[in-house]
Amino acid sequence: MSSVIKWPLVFRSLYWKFFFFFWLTLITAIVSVATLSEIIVKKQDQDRYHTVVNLGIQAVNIYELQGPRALTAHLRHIDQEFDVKGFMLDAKYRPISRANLPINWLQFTLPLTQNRLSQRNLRGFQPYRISSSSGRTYTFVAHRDNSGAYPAWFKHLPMLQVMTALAIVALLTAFVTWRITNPLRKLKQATDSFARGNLNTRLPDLVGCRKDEIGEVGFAFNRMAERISLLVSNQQRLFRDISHELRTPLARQQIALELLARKLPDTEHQSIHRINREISRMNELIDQVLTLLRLEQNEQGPAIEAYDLSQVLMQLTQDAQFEAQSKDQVDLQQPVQLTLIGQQELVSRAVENILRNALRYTPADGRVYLQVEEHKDQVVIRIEDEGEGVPEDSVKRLFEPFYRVEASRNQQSGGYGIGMAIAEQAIRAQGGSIQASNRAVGGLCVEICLPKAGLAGMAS
Amino acid sequence: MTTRILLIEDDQELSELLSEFLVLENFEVEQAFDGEQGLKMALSGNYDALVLDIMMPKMNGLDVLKKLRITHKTPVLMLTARSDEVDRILGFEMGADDYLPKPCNPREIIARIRAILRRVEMDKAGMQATGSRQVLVREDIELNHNTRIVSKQDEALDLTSTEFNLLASLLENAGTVLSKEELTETALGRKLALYDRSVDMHMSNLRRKLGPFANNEARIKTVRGVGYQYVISD
Repeated sequence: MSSVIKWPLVFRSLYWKFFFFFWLTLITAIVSVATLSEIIVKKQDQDRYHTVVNLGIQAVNIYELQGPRALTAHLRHIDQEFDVKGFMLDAKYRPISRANLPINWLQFTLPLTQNRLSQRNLRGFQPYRISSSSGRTYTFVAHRDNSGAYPAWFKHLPMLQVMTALAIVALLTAFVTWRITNPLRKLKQATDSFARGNLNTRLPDLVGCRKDEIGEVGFAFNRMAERISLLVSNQQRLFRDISHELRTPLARQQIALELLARKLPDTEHQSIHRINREISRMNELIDQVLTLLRLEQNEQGPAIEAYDLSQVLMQLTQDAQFEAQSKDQVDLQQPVQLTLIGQQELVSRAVENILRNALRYTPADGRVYLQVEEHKDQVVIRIEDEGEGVPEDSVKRLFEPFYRVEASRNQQSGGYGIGMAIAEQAIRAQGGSIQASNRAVGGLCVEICLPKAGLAGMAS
Repeated sequence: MTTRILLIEDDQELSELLSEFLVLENFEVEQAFDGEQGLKMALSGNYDALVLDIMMPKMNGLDVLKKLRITHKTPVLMLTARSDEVDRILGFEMGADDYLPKPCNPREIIARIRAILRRVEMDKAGMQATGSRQVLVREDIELNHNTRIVSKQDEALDLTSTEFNLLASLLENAGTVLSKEELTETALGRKLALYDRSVDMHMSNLRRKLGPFANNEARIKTVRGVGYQYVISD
């Protein structure tokens, strides 16, 4: 039971919501005005009925007192004075005076005598039966100017004008709606771009010309973006400075250790070797942190060039297997040749990091599958291992720097928790995407999508 | 006869430690803590080799080397920043004999210095002993093993000793791809190390000095992940 209204797809966009809202409002306004005026017209009709009946009685009186000539004069007077065009019939429906008598009066009086008068026969005339004080009956017939059944006003409306009006209303509505939703869409794009890590994203034109609430939102966004990017860059600078500063003592330590090694007997060399290894490890970690920072700050990286992905992957596979001291553990399946345009070094590093992880987590007798699929304008690189995979809730966080998946992926099994983050940034710099998922048969699957000519436009 | 080394490094503590280590290895060491002083000492003193840091106040290692090379051919081991920062300095014209990324194991520094010195000795000996060696000509390039001079269209090119060795290997094997391992061993007289971009840097300098073929095609092709190749022009 959801309380949320299930809007049809078209209504989910704010644009169409606004559009239909405004449009309906305008249409409703038009219809209500028309209805109201119709009611007023009816009221006027009633008033008119009384006026006409009174005029009829007056005319009958004049006829009975002063004769037909006076009646003719009176009827003409009524026409001019009260705008009531009427003629008088006697008890047998014969005209008494020629005043205001239409040419086709017979067509009108005939059905009247036969008492089969219908709406259709009236043709815009309204008869009023009047009995005089002398007891004779007359019929006063008046033109019906603007009375009629309810939809009549509609029939008289010129369709072309209605359509024009509707079109203008639609155009106006579209414009007003666009003015509201367009900046919102821009705001969304800017927010998306900001969220993707382009901390330089700002909303210039939105702010420039709008002084209303929407313009204020733009201002607020820019202020927020300014603040966040400042915070982020400060933090990154701190990170970078710390990393750089750590190198100096490490370098000294390394030399001091070698000096110590010369003074110590060979029996102590195992400890020296151990310390040396830890120093290298720390150096490597600092390197990785700096690499990640460089990638995050979109610094100009290695050159953009055309390269053969197949050759790169072949080399990587050989190197990784050599490093892991495992022969043929990687099952590489790829096209013979696959030319891409981008930063070969970054792609290579990304795949290398993931491949190393895969080799680390796959059991000694397990395999790692490295597959490349070529699509129309992108290439998909899939790296799968036969390890234990990761808990479902950790899958998305694998690419966070220093994120650790509890006990199973600890320091013992190696890794500094930053290789995946570097891979993600490196792939992103190519305009590609990377995601991890658990395989149905167990193990982790990392999928890299690379546009074939993602950075072609930027190549020199 | 002891070998005299000039150590130009702005980190004084590191420099002290390093020189202590070098002294233990029977080198005679003098230190300079900035580029200007280093250049002055290098120009005046008589050193067998220089260890030069890139990032230094007053005058950086690249400028020191450029000024030194005008008059001196003293072998230089350049200490560079690490990994991909190397890419940024690849573009500079550097005439160092070898490059070592920092931070590094001091034993590696010693090994590199020894390799450089050994090579210089070999080159000197080679110049005298191989009087019978032929002159290599390929298209517009002439490489003379006797005089160790390379000329392009009869115009002598100013190549460093390492660049000469690299070009010699490439020309002798023109058309085939030489791996970075092979090139490091033949031209630098040592084994290829981890994060070793020395050959790439020398190659980048060599390319610039040679220029492309007359039809604007690159003379030296990089084969990604494999090595380099001198193209046979047709």
